[in-house]
Amino acid sequence: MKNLSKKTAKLLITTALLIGVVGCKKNIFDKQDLNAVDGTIWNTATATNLFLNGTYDVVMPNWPTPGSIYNTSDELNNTTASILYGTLTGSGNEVTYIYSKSALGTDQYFSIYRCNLAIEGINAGTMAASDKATLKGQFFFLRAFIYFQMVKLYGGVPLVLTTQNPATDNIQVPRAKSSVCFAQIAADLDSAAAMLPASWNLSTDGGRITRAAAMAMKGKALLYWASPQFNPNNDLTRWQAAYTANKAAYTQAQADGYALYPTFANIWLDETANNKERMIWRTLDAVSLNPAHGTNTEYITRPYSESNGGGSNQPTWNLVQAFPMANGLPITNPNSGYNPELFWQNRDPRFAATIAYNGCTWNLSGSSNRLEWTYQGFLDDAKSPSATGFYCRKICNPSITVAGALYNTNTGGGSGMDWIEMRFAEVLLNYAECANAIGNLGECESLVALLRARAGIAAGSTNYGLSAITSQAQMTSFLLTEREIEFAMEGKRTDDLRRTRTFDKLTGTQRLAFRWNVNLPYVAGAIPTSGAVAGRTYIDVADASGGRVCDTINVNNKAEYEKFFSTSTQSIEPATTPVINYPATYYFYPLPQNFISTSSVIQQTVGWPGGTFDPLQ
Amino acid sequence: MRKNYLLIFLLLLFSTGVFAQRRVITGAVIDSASKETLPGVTITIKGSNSSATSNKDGNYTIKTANNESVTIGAHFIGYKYAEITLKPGQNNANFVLTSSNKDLSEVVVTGYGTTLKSKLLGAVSEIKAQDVQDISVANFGQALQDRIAGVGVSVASGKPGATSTLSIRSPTVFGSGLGITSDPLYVIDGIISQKSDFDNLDASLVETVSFLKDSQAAIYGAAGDKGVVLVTTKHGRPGKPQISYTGYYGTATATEEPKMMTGLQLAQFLNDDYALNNAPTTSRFSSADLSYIATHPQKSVFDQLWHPADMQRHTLSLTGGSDKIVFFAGGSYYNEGGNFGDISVTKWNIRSGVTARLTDDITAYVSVNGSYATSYDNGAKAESSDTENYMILSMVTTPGWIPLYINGRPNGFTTSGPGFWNPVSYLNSGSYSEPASQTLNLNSYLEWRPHFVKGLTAKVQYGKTNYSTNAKNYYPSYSVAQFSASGQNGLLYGTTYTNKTISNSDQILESYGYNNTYELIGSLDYARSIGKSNFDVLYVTEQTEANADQIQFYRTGQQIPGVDQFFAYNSGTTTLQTTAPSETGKRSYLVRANYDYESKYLMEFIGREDGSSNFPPDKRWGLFPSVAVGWRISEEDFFKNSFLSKYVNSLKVRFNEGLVGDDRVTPYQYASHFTPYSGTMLFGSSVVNGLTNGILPNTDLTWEHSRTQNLGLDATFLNNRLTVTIDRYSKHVYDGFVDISTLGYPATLGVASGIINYASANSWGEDFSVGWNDNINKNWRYGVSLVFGWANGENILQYYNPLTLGEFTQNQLITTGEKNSTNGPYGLIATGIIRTQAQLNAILKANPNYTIEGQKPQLGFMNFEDVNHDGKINADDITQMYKNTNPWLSTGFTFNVGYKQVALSVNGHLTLGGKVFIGGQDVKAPTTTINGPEFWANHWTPSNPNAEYPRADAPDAGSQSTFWARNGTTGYINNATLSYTMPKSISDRLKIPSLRVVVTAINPWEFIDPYDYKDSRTSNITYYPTLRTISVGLNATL
Repeated sequence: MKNLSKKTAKLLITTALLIGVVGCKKNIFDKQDLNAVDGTIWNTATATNLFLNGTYDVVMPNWPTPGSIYNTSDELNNTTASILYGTLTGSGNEVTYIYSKSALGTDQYFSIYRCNLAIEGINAGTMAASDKATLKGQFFFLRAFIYFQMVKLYGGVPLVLTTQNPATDNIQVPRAKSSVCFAQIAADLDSAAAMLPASWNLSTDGGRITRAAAMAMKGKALLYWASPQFNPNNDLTRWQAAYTANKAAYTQAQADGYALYPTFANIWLDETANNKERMIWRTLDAVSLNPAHGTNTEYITRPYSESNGGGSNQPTWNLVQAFPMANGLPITNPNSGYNPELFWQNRDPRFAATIAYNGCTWNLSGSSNRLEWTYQGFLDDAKSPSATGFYCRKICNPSITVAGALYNTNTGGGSGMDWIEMRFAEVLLNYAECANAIGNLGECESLVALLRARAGIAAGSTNYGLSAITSQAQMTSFLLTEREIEFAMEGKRTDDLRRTRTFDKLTGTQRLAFRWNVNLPYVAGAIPTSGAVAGRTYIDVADASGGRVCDTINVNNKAEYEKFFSTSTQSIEPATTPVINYPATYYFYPLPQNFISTSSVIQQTVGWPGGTFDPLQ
Repeated sequence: MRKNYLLIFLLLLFSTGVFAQRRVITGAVIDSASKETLPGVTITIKGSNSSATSNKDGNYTIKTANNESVTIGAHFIGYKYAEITLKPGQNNANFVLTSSNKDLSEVVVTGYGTTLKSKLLGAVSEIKAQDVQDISVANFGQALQDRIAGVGVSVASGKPGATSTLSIRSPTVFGSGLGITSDPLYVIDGIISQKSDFDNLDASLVETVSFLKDSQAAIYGAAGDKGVVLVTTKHGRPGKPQISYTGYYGTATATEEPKMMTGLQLAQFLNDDYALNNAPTTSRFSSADLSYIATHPQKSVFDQLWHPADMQRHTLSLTGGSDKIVFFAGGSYYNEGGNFGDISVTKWNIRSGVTARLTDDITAYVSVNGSYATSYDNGAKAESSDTENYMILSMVTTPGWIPLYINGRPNGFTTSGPGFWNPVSYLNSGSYSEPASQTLNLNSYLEWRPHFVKGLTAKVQYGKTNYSTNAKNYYPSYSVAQFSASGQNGLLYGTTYTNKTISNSDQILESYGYNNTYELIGSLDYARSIGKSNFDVLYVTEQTEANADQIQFYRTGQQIPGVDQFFAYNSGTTTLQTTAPSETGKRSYLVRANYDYESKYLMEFIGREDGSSNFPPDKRWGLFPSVAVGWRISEEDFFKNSFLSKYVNSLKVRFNEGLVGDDRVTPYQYASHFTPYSGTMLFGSSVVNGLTNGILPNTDLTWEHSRTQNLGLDATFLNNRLTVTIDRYSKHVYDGFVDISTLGYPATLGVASGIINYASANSWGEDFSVGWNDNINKNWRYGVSLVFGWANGENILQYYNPLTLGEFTQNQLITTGEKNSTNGPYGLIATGIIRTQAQLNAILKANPNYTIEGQKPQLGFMNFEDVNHDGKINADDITQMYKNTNPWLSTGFTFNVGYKQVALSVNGHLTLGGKVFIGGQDVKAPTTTINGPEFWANHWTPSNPNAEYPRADAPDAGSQSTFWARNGTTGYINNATLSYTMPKSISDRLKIPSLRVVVTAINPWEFIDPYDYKDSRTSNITYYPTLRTISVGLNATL
């Protein structure tokens, strides 16, 4: 018996030891996700700011893709065929800005969710009220900005303003009326403007939203709501609201230091504090490789020989013609002094700042007295010549080298030019357009005069060319063209054509190229392998002394110009779709089917297969 | 013999009187088969603590004070236990031990212990590592191909060190990503290990590998859902120290180089297409071009770059010890080179262990193991490290007219690989990637068998493993010469060139990581026999914790060309790419109770409770019970008395049912959290980082479950020469992990959701393994074994977005099964090539508006069955092509034959029937930049209307269709080993080590190949081809 209890005792000790050894650590499940933090980020401004940075990155636009659905118009040669030639069906996934798949960046509601999550989190968090305001203001702006981008494409969209929990909330959200969306956008931007600072430190926070930027965005949104796209019956109260908002934005912006930059040609090049015109922009950088933040803008915009690649970001003859003369008069005006042959002479200075044409001086890659040639067959660019006869020089940085034009996500390079989403000039023109719409023609003219003065147009006897405009309708038309040239190649033309319901008026027209053909005995291109033909001059080929004939041509000398070139215009539309066709239904693009099919309550837009949603309400 | 015993007995009778006080028992131990003496045998006296070990001559001496009847036992690993009872005065006992190999008394490792094979109640297959020790492969799993019923081994490609994947009974998984896996659980010497630990093992350092295929895996309920692989490594053996060395040296090359069209064939193929489509002259090859190509034939890029590669493997082991302490130390080295460029894989392995009997009750074991694995590859940057797909693509599909060099300069042509240039330029660019991993493992236990409680064993085991990884990748920019175009269509090359720089990322990248994990296991086992009842109860508690991190950073912008170090790069570009810290914990309690009556009626119960930190606190614990019963019919008297017993040596039926689980998903999916944002933003001149919100937390996430049943039969016949094991199983997986992040909710929710426990599926099948072993006479012996089985499955519950239900796409059709049918593949039903105008007219007469993928039918097009009768052949005509494509038999076979000291072992695979498909790149019509398989040369043209293949532009020809189906009958040899062992008598006499010479061939022969242009095991012609390795090995033991 004694023996047995001794055994039992030993056994018990053994068991206890075993369980004790193994079970000693009570908190074995007390583990954390070491690569993450929890909701405490809302208690610290710097942590919340990190979340904000990621939101900026997905929301703030970058350089548009030339010719994408969102950047197709008559101003440049590349196009998305389905938009320009009327082949959208609405039955598939065509205009996928809102949604292509469920992920950040491809489903805009992921960005919306981030904003909603942050606004709720900051409200519940414990940071100082001033920090809360500064951060929340930015989230309000970003949320409004995404909704605006969606609404301008599709009309009203599902309006989600809180984070939803599938377990407790009805997560099937139908489309809200366009009016409701615009009201919400305006309200968010009001909230943002009330919370945001007047300015930011450029070197550490340049590119963040200011109060004037939020107000300008509100003015822009209300301008769209008042514009024919949404307001075909011209409800004047909308114009009045837009006028008020834009005037307030203009006034506040001026008060906060925003202004037109004196030199039009350098707006995109000057990224210092001297440039007070930039209101909303995304900072880019070709130098900082940590990681690279450049773009391929330079590579796709420059001629082939100056980029080792060349692209298709080329202005059309249509755009070239839109520029007025230096006296402000349109080229169609008999008094303008327009010379159709030497058409580049005496134009609005913005012309020379925007367009590179055959024979102009363009000191790319740090060269001096470099002549740009776009004539047919020019040897240097023969592998990838300009389709239109022109290049866009406004968004090129001439100091970039040939090899440096290409951007690589690992090695950097390319263009570090910031993308400017909104310039003060746009606020001015938005304001002017609203003033005109409510009948304040004079107010409108005085604003436009400021812009034309900055452009370098002489006031002259025609008040910068404005004196001929006497009606509201004339001014409306004038303003559209003024926007076309002021914002040429800045990705604004598509939106303006849609907003003003002008795009469908282009139906039946063509985009044109300008052709310079070299006259015999002069010949462009290489000497044939069969040998030079007697009596001909190969102007692109260096002679024995190393010089080329083309480098000696002075295009401003009419006789010399005519000796070398004969010119013509030519459609750049493909043979299968010879003219532009933009149906009026395209003012509200169809929602992608993939987006609709994720929900039981989202309707397609009227005018598209099965569409029942009226975007005009 | 009997006379001798008698004599000794008589002698001993005399001696007892002299040594009455202290009894000394002596004797010898010999092997029953070889009659050679056995050193190192442990001799014990029952009921006392005395023990002794036989010396090098096989003799032992043991003392005892017991002058009554004593029973002496002899233990020796690999032999049956034997006992001799000595009457008073008897002091000599000679043991004749019989080997336990292929004997039902052998034990099988089953998790937390071993079981007698005769009492096994689950589908557990065991393989002796000795059987595969001569197969030199980079990953251990690859050597196990086609040897174990129900265990599939697939190898990614023939590339040295390519990943091999083991799957046990085709586990059901409902997705991928977020940590979902189909891998079995690996347990090495009782410690849960990583797959890489298993891959790195060398067969020479392993004793056995067991596969738990059914609810026996419930003993590892935690993650046993997909089966468990249990490895027992070599431990020390008592006896004089023995050292053994084995070295292999071999050479490897492709079993079959993909047969592609020559340059001339491709040019002609393209021209035929151009002719049919009236293409402009400028896109065609002129007759001068064709004759140029014909008169300038060149070796394919593959032939120019490919060469045989060397393989070597060395293993060394040392073992020995006494009855108090035994040790084992072994190391292995494996190195295999690649067949082009600079590719290699190297593995080092060290395993060492000491087992010590500290007291009669306490045994301690300490083992220290290490491994080091590294590989080097200068192939293309973006390619898969397992298949080398970009390099192989360019080597195989580069059109034959393209020279690699022109005037000694690498020709900078582009191939079809993304951003990919002449492979030679790339290989010479200096680029490489070099990952390495090291493992240090401590595995130790203390075992206490208190003499005062008979049958009790208490054990504490502790395993600690540190993994560390590092990798260096160097991708410098390089320059190529782009030569001028020549020929009518500009596809040939001139001699003038310009230099072009290929950026190739211009990057140097390094990464470092570690993973520290420990496992602590405490167990109590109590085993007793009472009367005819035997029972054994085991209680185990264990816990494991792990923490890990990985950091990766890079620089770009090389400033000192040719130097592959960080300092040679622009320091301003240093970028921290990833950090991945993590920690996890798990705790388990388990009970196993075994009971049997007369070893005839067997029962087992397993209960296991596991807690995993991967799940939220209230969903953390999972309970995994299992029951098993067995009946050894052959032990019944009625059986023993029947005529059957003459033929049937043993017969057992067994059944078990149990629940197993899986917790292997990305942890913390239940918690709301914010993780580093992968992008960065610039504000002004400042780069700023960001945070991003995680997935929608799933606070209900818990264990995936599967309920399995297994009915098994184990039998041996005809003097144990024929062994048969049959298992029939069914498995029901529920609470299956589904990643619904992309299919769950309206897009307006704006957040991804993670894994939910939703899906369920059934699977069932049968596994067979049949073996026959016999000795024909004293010199000849042979054996055959076959493993085969059938598996089938059906989905019960699969997650779809409710809104898309009823709108099935083709992809969904393909994954949604019909009950009781193996889903045949979907595709078009090909009706043949339209060869003649009469055929074409007949088609158009029947339906003038007939189209094939929108095109009007033309001669040379492939025609298909218009399944939906709408007069149009398109995706709507995709249908189930075959009810099923399963072969009627797919078996692995192993054949052994021996004559005296010579042995041949062959392992292979045979598939009979079924269908396989030509797919991937092979079915795409060749282009000016991508060459195609040789069969394309035989394509339809007006002058070759009876060709086997359609014309180049035939619509839908490259779609999956019955046209590309081939008879699935396939047969190949995985490996064959021929060895000669020098007789021990000779080596002993010459006083040299015992020697064994072996020749091994891996993948020596594919005797039935469904494809006429490639090896069937090379799944894609753009993957590294399957290799044939011939090696010679020498094994010396002293």
